Amino acid sequence: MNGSNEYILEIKNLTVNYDTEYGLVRAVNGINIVMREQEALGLVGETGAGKTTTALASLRMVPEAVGKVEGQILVGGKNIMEMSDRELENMRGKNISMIFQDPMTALNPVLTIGRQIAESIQIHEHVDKKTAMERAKDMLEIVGIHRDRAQDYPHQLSGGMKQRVVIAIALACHTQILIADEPTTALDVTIQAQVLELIKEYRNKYKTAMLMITHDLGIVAEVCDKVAVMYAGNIVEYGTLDEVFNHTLHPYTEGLFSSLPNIKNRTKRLNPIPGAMPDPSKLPEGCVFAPRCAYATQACFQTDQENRFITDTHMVRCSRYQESGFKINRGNTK
Amino acid sequence: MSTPILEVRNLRKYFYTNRGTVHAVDDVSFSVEKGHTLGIVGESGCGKSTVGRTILRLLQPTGGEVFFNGENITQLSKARLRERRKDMQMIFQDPSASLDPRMTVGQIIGEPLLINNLVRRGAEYEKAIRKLMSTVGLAQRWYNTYPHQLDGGRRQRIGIARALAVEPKLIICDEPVSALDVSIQAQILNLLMDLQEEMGLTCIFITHDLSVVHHFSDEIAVMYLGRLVEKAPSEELFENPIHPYTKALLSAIPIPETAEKNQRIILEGEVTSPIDPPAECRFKKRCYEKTDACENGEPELTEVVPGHFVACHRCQYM
Amino acid sequence: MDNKIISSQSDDSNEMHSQQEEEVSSVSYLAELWRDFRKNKGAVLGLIILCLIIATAIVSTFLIDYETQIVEMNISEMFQKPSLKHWCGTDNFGRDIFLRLIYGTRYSLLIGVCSVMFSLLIGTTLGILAGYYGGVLEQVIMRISDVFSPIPSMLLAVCLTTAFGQGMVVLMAAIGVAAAPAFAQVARASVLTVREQEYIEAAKASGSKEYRIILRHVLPNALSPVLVQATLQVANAIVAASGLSFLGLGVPTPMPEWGAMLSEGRAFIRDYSYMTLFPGLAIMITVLAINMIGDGLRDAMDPKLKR
Repeated sequence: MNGSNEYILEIKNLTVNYDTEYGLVRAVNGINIVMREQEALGLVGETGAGKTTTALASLRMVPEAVGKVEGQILVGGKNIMEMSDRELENMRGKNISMIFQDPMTALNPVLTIGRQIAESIQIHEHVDKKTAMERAKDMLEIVGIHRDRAQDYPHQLSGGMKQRVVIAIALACHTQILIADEPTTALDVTIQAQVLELIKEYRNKYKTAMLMITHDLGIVAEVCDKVAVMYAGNIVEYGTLDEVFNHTLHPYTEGLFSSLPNIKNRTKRLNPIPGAMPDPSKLPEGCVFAPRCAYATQACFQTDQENRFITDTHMVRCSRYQESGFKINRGNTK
Repeated sequence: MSTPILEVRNLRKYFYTNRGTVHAVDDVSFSVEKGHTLGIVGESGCGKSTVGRTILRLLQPTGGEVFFNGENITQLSKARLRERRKDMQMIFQDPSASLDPRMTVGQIIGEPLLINNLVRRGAEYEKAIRKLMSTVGLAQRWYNTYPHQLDGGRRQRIGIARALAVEPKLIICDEPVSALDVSIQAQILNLLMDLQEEMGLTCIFITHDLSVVHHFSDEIAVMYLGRLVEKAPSEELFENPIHPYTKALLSAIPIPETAEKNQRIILEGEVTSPIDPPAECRFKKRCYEKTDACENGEPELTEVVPGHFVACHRCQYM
Repeated sequence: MDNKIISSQSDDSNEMHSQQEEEVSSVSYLAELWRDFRKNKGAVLGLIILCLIIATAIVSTFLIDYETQIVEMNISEMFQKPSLKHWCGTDNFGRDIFLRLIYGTRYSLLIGVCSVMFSLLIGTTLGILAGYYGGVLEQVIMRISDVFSPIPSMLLAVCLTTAFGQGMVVLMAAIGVAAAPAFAQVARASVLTVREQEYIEAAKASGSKEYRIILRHVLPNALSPVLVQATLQVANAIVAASGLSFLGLGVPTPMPEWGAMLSEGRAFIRDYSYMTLFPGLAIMITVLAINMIGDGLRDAMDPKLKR
């Protein structure tokens, strides 16, 4: 493997535990992620898988009172866990920016949308107020809002427009890395289409790398080059889009695909994954997915899982791949 | 042709605000056969939830009529209506908000039984509740627990059990799986399909998610800004969508496949306001297939292909 | 029918490989409330103090003889400073102040609790009706409440005492009525929120009659802020009662109500300050304890503070 300066974001062995009155909540359990310039990585998983925690940790925004973060997070080669507050403030918004999930609460209701975008520009690009506002208006146009609306307040906008403002704020400084946490979940499907187009165009133009957090495999297929599938705080499968979609390895990923309604493939019955994700404060021994896995053996409940690389780029966390010839059904019963 | 179990005629629901009249539901008509499922699809603000609530008279209709089993329920007195409630039930979207946090699972499911004097308190009552719990696949051990102790999927099962308690003939599902995780959605959808089949229920399935509605519906109606713009049997709607909005809706859904995709139709602009809408096609401002014919006021829902109805000026000349 | 559905979609068989059935304990709202309340050290301290005070009041009924120890004057023991014999000293009639304080606990508690009961009954009922039904009823109730709201309990007490004479019941009524508008407002606001919840709609859809919806669904869920209000109002009522007694409008002498004791001690404050100090302390500690409990309750009930 090449030197770490090739990666603009490198997450090494990240573990995040929350100390609560209910016990130790193990939100993220030793994950590894790497991102190169201009790459779009989709972080897929359901509620409680640990995706948002991972995103927050990348900006060092896990509340320190309750969350214990271990591991290394390297942005542009520098470990953010060791940065001073000053350096962190510089990094956030300049190297990495984040699109938060809920546009209703991500915007400050007492500031105009123009001000909110301009603020970010002012801080990181060290320009004066006037220039910042001009650039803010440019950003509004890029996200499809007329520049005259810069003096509007968030409550005057619809949900879709608010989310576009949130995106404008995140994109305003043309950061190298963009983290998008379920940016379209709260939006109608036609507005979602607009927003995804916008993100794709922006990335093409500015060559931004992106970490797209979502539960929607359709969105991943639209905008991502690589996929990481998360389950109960672990990344269970990691690979290129083609590898994960067409040469699926992990049983959970397979389960996700077969439980999704797909309008192109309109079978009568869905195949849900039985059971539910385990409580992060009571994770089972052995493989966390074993209780719901159709391929689990006795050994799966006992042995700890390891990351296995099946190809150079395709990783799976499943001990059954030790056996030669083991294959799951998806993609293999044609 | 037997009488459809539900017939909705020219249903209107307006909300009067200081900014004007919100035409939440505007002249909607459809009927549903016994044992069938009608899917009502649309994005936020199209009025689909309002239609559901107005049919059940949880909201009072501003105009139009609803016939259930031939009886005009829009005119019923409060007392008679309460009796009819046994026949028509609703499953709500948010399983957290639709369950009383101070009641146990057993109490929530049992309440409709008590209210409607269907069972006497005591052993019979508990037995009936436990039977309902197993029907919806809820483990018995949750009987005395509170909703907040359970996850979304289980909470939604409680809601379904509650709706089934009175043995209704019609169930209106208002976005029953939207608030749930993807893998749980599939479980609940399958459950609803099984129940419908086993019990011969008639369903109206309201959702914004077209991919989900297909599995469940015989017929699908698409709503936009309070009006029905297209109605067709499920398979027909997906194979052959006619209204420009339906086409855009279908193409907007991201497909979880890596194969080459069709060119996406991206609609310009935002949904216009349902406040005092002008008397013209409400989709005109965003429509990418406009023609001169579209200046002729509001389009009517007409049968363009047998069984397939569209409200579009341009499409009438097919 | 049942068998088919159980096997395909059942909760239990959802576990691909069944695990130990964990014991599921029912965690009611009250249990959680107590657990959250316990976390607040101040609130727990307040609760302990209040329990002590209540215990004192109860025990004093049996141990202290009203006639001999509270009322009987003992001139020889007049104006004694606090000592081992008289823990808080004696007053101008030679009566033991400590014993009088202990005995007087009952008045404060009684007035506090009863007046709040009164306010609760009237204010909360009206507030709930106003909030649930809205419209004209709401307007009428709230406007009446607005009329009474600025009237301080003092003024009301004066009016009622003049009309009906002095006494504990009049005192309770005065304080109760004066506090009722606040309860009405809190109850109404709470009901407005609960009214919009989907489970209310669900109850309607099940065919529930309105009175049942109000009693079974609205009331239990709307009560939380009212409970906090009630707790804090007990403290206010005690202060109000003391104030009124201080003015001579409340509990008549020689009953050892704390405010009355304060009033009596006023004349001797320069030389025998302990006569006002101890009753004052008693009022202060009680009110403080109740306020801490009220704050603890409010924090424990606040859903936003929960993680």
